[in-house]
Amino acid sequence: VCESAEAGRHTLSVQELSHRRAREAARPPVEPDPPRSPSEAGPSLRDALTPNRIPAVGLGALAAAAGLLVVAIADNLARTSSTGARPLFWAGYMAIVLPIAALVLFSRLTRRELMWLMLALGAVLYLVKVMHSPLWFTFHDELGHLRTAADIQQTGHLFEHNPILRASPFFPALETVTTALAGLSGLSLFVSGLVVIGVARLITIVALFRLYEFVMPPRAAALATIVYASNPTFLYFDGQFSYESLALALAPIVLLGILRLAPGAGIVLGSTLAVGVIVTHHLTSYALCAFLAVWALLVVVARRRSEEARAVTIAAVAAIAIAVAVVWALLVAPVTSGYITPVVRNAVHALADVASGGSSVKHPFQGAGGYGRPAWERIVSLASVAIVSLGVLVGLVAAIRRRPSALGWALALTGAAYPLTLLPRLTQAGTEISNRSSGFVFVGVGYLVALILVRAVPAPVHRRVHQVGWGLGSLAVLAVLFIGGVGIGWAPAALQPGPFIPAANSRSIDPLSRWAAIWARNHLRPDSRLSGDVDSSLLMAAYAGQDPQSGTISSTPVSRLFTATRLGPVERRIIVADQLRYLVVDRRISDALPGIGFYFAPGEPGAFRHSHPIPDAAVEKFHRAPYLDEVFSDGRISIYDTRKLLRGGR
Amino acid sequence: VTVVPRLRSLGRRDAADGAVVALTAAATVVALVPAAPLWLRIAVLVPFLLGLPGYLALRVAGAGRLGVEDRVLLTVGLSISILAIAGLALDRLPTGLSRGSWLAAIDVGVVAALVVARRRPGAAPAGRPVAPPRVRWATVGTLALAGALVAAALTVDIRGAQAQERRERFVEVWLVPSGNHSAVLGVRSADPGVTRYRVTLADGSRQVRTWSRIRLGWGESWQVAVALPASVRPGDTVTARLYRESPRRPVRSIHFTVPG
Repeated sequence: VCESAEAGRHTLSVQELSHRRAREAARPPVEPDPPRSPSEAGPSLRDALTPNRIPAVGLGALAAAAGLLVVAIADNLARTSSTGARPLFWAGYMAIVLPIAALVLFSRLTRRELMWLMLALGAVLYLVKVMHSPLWFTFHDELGHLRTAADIQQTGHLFEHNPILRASPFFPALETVTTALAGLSGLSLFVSGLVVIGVARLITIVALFRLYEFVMPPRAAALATIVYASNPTFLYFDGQFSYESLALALAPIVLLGILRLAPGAGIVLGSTLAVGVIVTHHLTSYALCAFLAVWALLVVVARRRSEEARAVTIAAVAAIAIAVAVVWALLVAPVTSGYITPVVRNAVHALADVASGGSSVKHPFQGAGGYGRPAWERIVSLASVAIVSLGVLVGLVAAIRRRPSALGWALALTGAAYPLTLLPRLTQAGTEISNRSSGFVFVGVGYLVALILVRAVPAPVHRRVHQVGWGLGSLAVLAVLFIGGVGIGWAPAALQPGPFIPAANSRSIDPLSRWAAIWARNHLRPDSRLSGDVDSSLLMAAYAGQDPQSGTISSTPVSRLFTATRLGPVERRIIVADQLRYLVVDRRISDALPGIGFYFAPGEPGAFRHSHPIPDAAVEKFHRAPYLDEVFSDGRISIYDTRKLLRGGR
Repeated sequence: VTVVPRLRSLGRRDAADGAVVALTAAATVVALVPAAPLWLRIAVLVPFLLGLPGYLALRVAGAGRLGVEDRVLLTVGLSISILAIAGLALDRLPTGLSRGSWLAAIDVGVVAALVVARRRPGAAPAGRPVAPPRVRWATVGTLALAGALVAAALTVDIRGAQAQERRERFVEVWLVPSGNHSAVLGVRSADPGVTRYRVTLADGSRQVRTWSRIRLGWGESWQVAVALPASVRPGDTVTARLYRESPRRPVRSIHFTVPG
């Protein structure tokens, strides 16, 4: 007897068939198959809006909007260094998140109401990021992508050299879409970028909700989405004008396309979407390829009839995605390996050093430059790590008992990687890797933690006192996850806007430094080699199209130019050997310690260990140097022309 | 019995195709007319770029029945992917990624996709028509209030950021050699209100020129091309000094060596 599987590709013998049926009869009930279309999933929007029901979406949106107003007030207090700005920020942040979480936990909502609540959560959390710097881009990666976008706008072509974010021009989807919108609409790159990332942010959260719906009921899917939004990179890093923000929106849509489209269309459009991810961001495309490959493998292993129909689509899209990603990495973006490999290698070496006792474990929450966190924030951050780790462990057990689909298994395995991503955090070099992986592994963490939350708090919970207790406990857990997530993933000095701090990324981008960069754009030849502190260099590259240099030249750190108290032969040699045409000197680097641990480059002498600011004499020496022309000054920032020195004047 | 659904499907398809053509035409006109208001540009061009390509791809590929949210997600995701891939193709053209090439590429793509989509047998656009929900005033009221609060939050925040922008008081001065024994001298003010400045240019200790009564408001700039006198020789150091006239004190001094 031949049993035609759903797609007509597998044949089973009578014996295999009877064995399978016996095995399936002995198994506990499996998770329900996902709704095939939204309309079959529960009451419609009309039902949701019938009388005698609380206007859940309206209330959730109202509370979130009120929280947003509190965050706006907190940010303004921070801009004037007023006390209370930080606690008020956390209060506003919680006012955004907790009411929506409470509605999901405590109310019986339709899936459409849940989806609208997720949309409200995604929109308002994106606005929190926008309000951090509502007038221009200030985050490091944003300025890197701004340079790529400006180059495309100026030249009309892709793949121009970007000195501050080398990989960015070779993954140009974000800048392509942004410059297309800017070019056609006349909007600035800043506004166009906000629109594109805003759209991406909304589709990220809805796509995740839809994805989770294929492995769990809508309420659990909403909780999984909320847990995902608590990941350390969600609020700021993945809300910025950056390729990862866009790629994270496209990746779940690839999976959705495979799940929802007919097989033929699924392969064509799923592959188109996957190619979209590949030309958007390297790490996300590699994570997507890995996920697709694991999913395809699990479909074959699990042999569930409901999924076998999609096996070919999954395998085809996975194969196409992997092939295109490999070709892209080898032929178009070979720079990627040089960009990623050193970061990974340094982290592995540092971790091996710690393991062998060669160096000690990094002190957690050791804020650079004295910009540390309050004790309670550290405790909450540590608690969030402990809760997520425990949640992953217990969630895995729950997932195994549920006998999930192949997609559920793939999500569970993704979440199970969370403890591994914590290991690099033990070292300074690995912290970034650990942080950056959050956006990916939390797709699985959300699934696993939500499995526990829905078991702990069956909806609606208002009927029994102990259930209310579990519900409030779950809310408290979510509060810890959200506060702890931001605490882990974002530098304390950059949590809110505020007065200038040297070498502190967004806190170092102020009117003086930005105006100086705009002046440089109008008066200096583009692509001139120059050097300055990390944020001056960033601005000079992003706004003025210059080519900043750092690192070492002839084994001498370029930063020595700015830290030495006199311009001696060694310093002059650095200028000549590195062909530095301009020096950008921000005297404020002598006012305070660097916010991110270094003034010029992570490899500079004393990086992450600076105990004193750079001496005044080190930044004032340029003004007196006879072979430097001071061509620009605003009192704090000066730009020196080294033309005379480079022509052999000295 | 079979004709009525076919006619209905045809009617929906024609309406959808008409909307696609109208949006394409509107976007082309809005993009080409510089006087089009900003809100109109955003309202027309965002769906044109982030919606239309994906919508037509779904039509052409015969996506089948989809729920509204899945259709929206796939439409936007496909639009972004298609624009990214189209950008790679446009990059190979001499015109590159210009406004004209984008408009031409999308307009041609829309027409081609419509032709292919209409030839597909029974390829009806978008899923089933969705009945409009019954209005519930509590929901409408709370959403309106939420919208007002979001607007208030953004207004408060932007004003705060603008105030911080103007809080820093400074003035820029520059002196850049511009070849042929000349230089560009300029000032840009970030002092609050209107401020009067004076700039002097000196060769060593000898004052060469003076510009008085330079009145600048916040963000305004003044710039002049200076032909250096013959008395100023290559290798001499020329110094520009900037004074605020009230209080009358020098605030900046910058210099350059006259190129040979």
